Amino acid sequence: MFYRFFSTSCALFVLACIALLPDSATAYVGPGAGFAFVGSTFVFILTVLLAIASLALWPIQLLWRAASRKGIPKAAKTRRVVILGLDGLEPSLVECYMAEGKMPNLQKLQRAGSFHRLGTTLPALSPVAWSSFQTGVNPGAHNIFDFITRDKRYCLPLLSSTETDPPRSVKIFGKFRIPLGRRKVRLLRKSQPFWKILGRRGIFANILRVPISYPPEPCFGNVLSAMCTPDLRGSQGTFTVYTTGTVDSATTGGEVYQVERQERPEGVVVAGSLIGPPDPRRTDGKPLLAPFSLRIMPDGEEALLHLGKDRELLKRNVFSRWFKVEFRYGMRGRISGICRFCLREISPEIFLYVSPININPAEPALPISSPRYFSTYLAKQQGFYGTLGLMEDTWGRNEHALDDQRFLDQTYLTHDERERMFLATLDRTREGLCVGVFDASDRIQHMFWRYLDPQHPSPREEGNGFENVIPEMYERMDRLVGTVQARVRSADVLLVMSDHGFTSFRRCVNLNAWLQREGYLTVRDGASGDEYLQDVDWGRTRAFAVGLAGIYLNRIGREPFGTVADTEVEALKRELSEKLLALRDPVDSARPIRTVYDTAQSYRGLYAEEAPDLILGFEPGYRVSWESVKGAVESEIFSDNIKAWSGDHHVDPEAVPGILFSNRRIEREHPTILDIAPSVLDLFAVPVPAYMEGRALF
Amino acid sequence: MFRSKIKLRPALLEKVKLAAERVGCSSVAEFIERTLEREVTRVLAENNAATGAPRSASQSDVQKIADKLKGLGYLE
Repeated sequence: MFYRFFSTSCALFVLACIALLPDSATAYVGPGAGFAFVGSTFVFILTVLLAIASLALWPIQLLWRAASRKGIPKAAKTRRVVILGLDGLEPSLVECYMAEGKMPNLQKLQRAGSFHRLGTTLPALSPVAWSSFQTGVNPGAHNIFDFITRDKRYCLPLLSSTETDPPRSVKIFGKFRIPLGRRKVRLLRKSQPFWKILGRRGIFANILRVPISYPPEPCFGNVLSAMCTPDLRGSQGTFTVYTTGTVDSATTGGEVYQVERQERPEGVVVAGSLIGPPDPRRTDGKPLLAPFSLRIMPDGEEALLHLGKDRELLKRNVFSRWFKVEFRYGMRGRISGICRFCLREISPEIFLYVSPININPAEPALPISSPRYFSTYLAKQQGFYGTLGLMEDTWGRNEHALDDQRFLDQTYLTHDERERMFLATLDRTREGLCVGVFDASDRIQHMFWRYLDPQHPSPREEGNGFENVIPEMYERMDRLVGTVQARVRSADVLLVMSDHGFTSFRRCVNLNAWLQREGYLTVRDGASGDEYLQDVDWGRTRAFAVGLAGIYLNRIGREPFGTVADTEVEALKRELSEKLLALRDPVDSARPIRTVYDTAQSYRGLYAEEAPDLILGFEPGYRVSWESVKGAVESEIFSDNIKAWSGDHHVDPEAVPGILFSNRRIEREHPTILDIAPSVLDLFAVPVPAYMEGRALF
Repeated sequence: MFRSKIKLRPALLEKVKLAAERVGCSSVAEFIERTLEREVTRVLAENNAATGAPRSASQSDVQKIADKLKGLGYLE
C-alpha cells in the first residue's frame, strides 16, 4: 500500500517536472469541444501541491483504511490476480496446437491448474462478452447486445457502447461559434465492473484495454480505454490514402486524395494535408488540417516525410514510427493526435497510407484513461502508443489500402507495444488486480481464416506463407503466456482467457432481404433500401434487422414508428422463428440457422427489452451480411463472403466458446464468462453481490 | 454543468434503493434514470404515432452516422 501511494506521489511529481520542460501551451480540447488554456507553470505548481497533499494525507489514509478494514482481507485466497485476455482464442485450435507441442506454456498451465472451454454470451460478440466479464451479469442487465444499436428517433444504427452529446455553443456570425463547454461522452454499458467493487474495499486494480471501457469509469486504480475509443475524427478508424494515381473508389474505398508530383530543385515532392477533427469554432464541420510533404529520394526507393518539424525517411512498405500531428486553430488552439505512415508504392505512382489519427495519449483530447494522467504517464514511460479502440485497420485491409503483409505488420506493431505496456504494469502491480486484453488474436483470425479454410470463397495470396499466420499467432500468444507466467508468483492466481472462439465466415445472409421477401418488412415505393433503414415504410413493417445480433419487432411503445401490439408479440416471434429455422441455402440446401433465441427467455434485467427480440444462432460458416449489419435491404438473401475478413464468431454461442486456463484447479464443470467476476471477488474474500449471476470457481 | 435534482419521499427512496440493488444497478441514479427513460420512450413513441412525426432522418444525420461508424470492421 505504501509502495502504491509513494509511487503515485512520485508519478505526480515526475509529471509536474515534465510539464515544466519547455513546451508549447497545451489546450485540452476535444474534437468540437470547448477550449481551456493551461500553462506549464500552473500545471507544475498544481501538481507539486497535489503531490505534497498526497504525502501529507498518506498517514491519515493509512489510519482510515485500517479503521475501516480496507485493503486485501486476511481471509483472501491470494494477494494478486492476473488476468490475460487473448480475444477470440479458439479452443479447438489451442487443443490442436498443444497436442502438436506448439503451445508448451499453456500446456504447463493446464498441468499446474486447469483448462476449460469458457461459455460465452448470447450473442458471441466481444462488446457483449467483455461487458459480461466486467460485470458478472447477462446482457439484459448491462445493456450491451451488439456493437450496434438503433436510435429511437429514426432507427439509424448507432454504436451501442457510447453516446456523445455535442457541447453547447453560442453562434457568433455565419458559420462561426464559441463553444461553451466540453463534449460529454457517456458509457452506455450499465451495472458496474467488478474492480469498482474491489476498489471500494481498498483493493487496487490496473485495467488495460478491456473492451467497452470508453470512457473509463473512475475506480481505485488505473484504467486505459479500449474497444470503441474513437480516433481524433470521432470515427472508429478512418484511414486515408494519398496517391498520384487515378482515384478509383471502386477498388480502394476509404478516403483517397489525389496529390500531384511537383518537380522542385531538391527533387520530386508531393504535398497533402492530414484531415483532423472538425474545427471547434465552426458550425459546418469543416475539418482542421495538418500539412505534410513527401520528397522522393534519388534512389526511388525511399521518401523523406516532413510533418511539422518532424522528419523521417520512409522505406517502401515499412510502417513509420508514431508521428505527432498537431491541428491548430485560432491563436493558440491545438488538438494533438498521432498516426503512422506506410509508403506502399513510389513508382510509377505514389501511394501513401496514413493510419487513423489516434488520440495522442500524452495530450489526450478525450478521456481515454482514469485517472486522466494515466495515459500520459504510460506515454512518458514507453513513448507513443495507439489509443484507437480497434487499432488493427481491418477496414483498410478490406478496402485494399493495405495488403495482407502490411495488415499483419500493423497488427504486430500494436501487439508489441501493448505487450510492453502490460508487462511493465504487471511488474508495478505487486498486489491487487492486473488485467490486460490483447486483440491481435481476434483481428488476425478475422482476416486470415481463409488461409485455414480451403473452401473459403475469398481470394488468397498464394506462395507467401500466409497459411502459417494463424498457427504462428497462436505460438506467439503462448510465448506471451510464458513471459507472464515467469512474472507470476506461486501464490498469485493467473487466468488466461478468451471471450469467444472462432469459425469460418463463408456465406452472408441478408436478414432484411429475407424479411422483405416474407412480407414482414416493406421498402417505400421507388426506394432502393440501401440506406441505413431510411427507406423502410414503417407503417407496413413488422420486423427489421440492424447490427450483427438479430431481429427487432417493430413494437408499439418501444420503436419510434411501431406497428406490433404487445398482444401480437409472442405469436409473431414464434412465426418468425419457425420460418427462420426452415430457411435453406439455395446453393446446397444447407441450414444456415441452428437456433433462434427468444431474448425474453434468454435475458433478464432492466435493459432486456432493448435487446433484439430474436437473436440468431447461425451455423458455423454463416453470418449476417455486410449490408445487413447497417440495416440495408439487398436483393439477394444469400451471397458469398469474398472479403479478406473471412473468419468470425457471430454464430450460435454453443459453437464458439472461449478458453479459460488457470494456475489453480477449477473443479466446477462448464465455467462461463459470467463466472470470472464473482471468482475474482471471492479470491480476494470480497462478498459477491447477490445480483451477479455467475459462480465462484475456486 | 448543473444537473436537476429531484426529492423523493423517504419511503419511496428506500424502495428504489432495494429495487436498484436487486437488479444490479451500479447506483440508485442509474435505476431511476432507466425507469424514466423507459417511460419517456413509450410516451414519445405514442406521440409520434399520433402527430405523424417525420419518419426519415435528414441526409446530414445519415452522413454523421456513417462517419462515426467508419472503421468498424464488422460492417462495410
